[in-house]
Amino acid sequence: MDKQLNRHEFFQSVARGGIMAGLVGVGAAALHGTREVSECFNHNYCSSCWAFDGCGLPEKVADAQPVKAKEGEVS
Amino acid sequence: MRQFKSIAVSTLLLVPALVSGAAEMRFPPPDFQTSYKLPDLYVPPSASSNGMWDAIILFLALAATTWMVFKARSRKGLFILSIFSLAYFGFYRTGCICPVGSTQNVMAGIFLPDVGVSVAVLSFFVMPLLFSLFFGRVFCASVCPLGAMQELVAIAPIRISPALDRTLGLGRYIYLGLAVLGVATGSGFFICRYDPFVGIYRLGHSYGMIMAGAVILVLGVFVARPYCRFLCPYGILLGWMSRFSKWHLDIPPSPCVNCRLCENSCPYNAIDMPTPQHLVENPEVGKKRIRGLVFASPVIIAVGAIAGYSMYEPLSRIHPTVTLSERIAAEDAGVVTGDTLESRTFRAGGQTAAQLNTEANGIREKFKTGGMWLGGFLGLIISLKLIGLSTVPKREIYTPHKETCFSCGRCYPYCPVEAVPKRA
Repeated sequence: MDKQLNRHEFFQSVARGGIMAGLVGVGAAALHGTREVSECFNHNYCSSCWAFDGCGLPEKVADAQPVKAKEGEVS
Repeated sequence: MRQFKSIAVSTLLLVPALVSGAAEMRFPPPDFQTSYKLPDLYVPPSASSNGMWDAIILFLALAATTWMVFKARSRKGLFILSIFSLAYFGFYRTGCICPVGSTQNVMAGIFLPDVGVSVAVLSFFVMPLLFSLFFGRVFCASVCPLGAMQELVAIAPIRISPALDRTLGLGRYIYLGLAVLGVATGSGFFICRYDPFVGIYRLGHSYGMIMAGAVILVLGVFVARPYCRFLCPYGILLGWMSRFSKWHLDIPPSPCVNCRLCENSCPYNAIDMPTPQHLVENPEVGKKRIRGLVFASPVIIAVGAIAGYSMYEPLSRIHPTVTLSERIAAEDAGVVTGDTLESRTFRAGGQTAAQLNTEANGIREKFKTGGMWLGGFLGLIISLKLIGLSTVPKREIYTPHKETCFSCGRCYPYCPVEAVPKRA
C-alpha cells in the first residue's frame, strides 16, 4: 500500500511530471526538422578541425556556396 | 604509493597529447601559392558508426552506475566504471557524441528552422537527464568521460570556500547562455569547439586547447572537477533535474551519527551540514526576505535583459561573418594595415563589402534579441540564487546537496555507519 505523500513530496512529483512533459516537448521540437545540423554548421570533420574558424581556403568557401544556395531554396 | 601511481598514469595520458600538439606547431600547414590542389581528405569510417549502439551502451552504463550508487554502494565500482567510460566514450569514441555537446544539437533542432536531430543524438541528451530526474546525477558519477577524466586525477583535492565555489559556479550559466546563443544565431558549437579534453581524447588539437586541457587536469589534482563545477553547461540541467529526483544517494544507510567525516571527505562542498543553532531563525523573517526578493526579481531580470540588449555589438563578434565584416571595413578605412587569410579569401570571392556588411547587420539584429534573452536568463538565475540564499533550511543530519552532489561515492568509505555491516 502506498504511503501518504507529504506536501514537499507531492510538489516534487508534480515538478517531475512537468519536467518529463517538458522533455517530451523539447524532444518533439528537436526531432521534427528534416535538415541535418551539419547543413547549417558544416559540423563534419571540417568543423572539428581546430583551424576551422580561421580557415579561408578557397575550397572551404566553395563548399559553403551549395549550402547557402540550398538554404535559399528552402526559404 | 597509490598517489604516485595515479600521477604516473595521468602523466602517461597527457604526454602523447602534448607531444602531438607541440609537433603540430613545429610544422604548420603550408600556404601554397601555386596551382597545387590539396588532395581530398579521407576520413575513415568510425569503428561504430551506429549511434544507437552508443545510446544503448550509454543506457547500460547509466543503469550500472545507478546500481553501484544505490545497491552496491561501492566507490571502487564507480571508479572502475569511470575508467570504462573514459576509455569508451572518451578515447575510443573520441568524445563525440557526448551528452554535454548534444545540448547544442538539440538547441539547433529547436531554434533553427527545419533542422532536426536524430533519435540517437536526442537520446544522448535526454537519457542522463531522465536518470538524473529519478536517481540524481549518476551520469556525472562515472559515465561522463569529461567527469571521469577529472575524477581520476583528483588525487589531493582541497575544499575551497563555499562562497567562492558558488561564485565561480555562476560561470556555468554564462557558458550555457553563450552556447545557446551561439547555436541560435548560427555562430557555432562553442561547447565542442572549446572542449578542453577532446584534444586529449583525439591525441591532437590546437596547442592552446591541449594546454587548456592540461592546465585543467593539473588544477583538478587539487581542486576536484574544475570543469564540472565551474564550466559544464550540461551540469546545470542535470543539477536542476537532480533537485527533483525521486531517489538520491544517502550517505549513511542507517541513522547518521553526525561525525562530520563525510563532510571532510567531499571536495565538492556538496554535503550540507546540520543547521547550527545560532543560524536558526524565526520562519517569518525568512518568508519576509523571500517576499522582498520575489518582488525584486522582475526588476533584476529586466536590468539583465537591458544589459544583454545593449551588449549586442560585442556579443555579435562571436559570429565569424561579423568579425570578417569589421575586419574588411577596418582594412578599407586604413585603420589596420595588412590583411588576414579570411580577408584575402573574401576579396578573392565575388561578394562585395556592402553585401557582407548587410549580412553582418542582419546577424547583429539577431544578437539584439539573443542578448536580451541571455541577460534576462542571467538575471533570473541571480534572482533564484538570492532567493535560495535568503532562508536557512533546518537540517538535523549531514545530507548530500541534491543539485551539486555528483553521486561519486567518495563519502561511502568514510562513513562509520556504512562500514559497520561490512566489518560484521
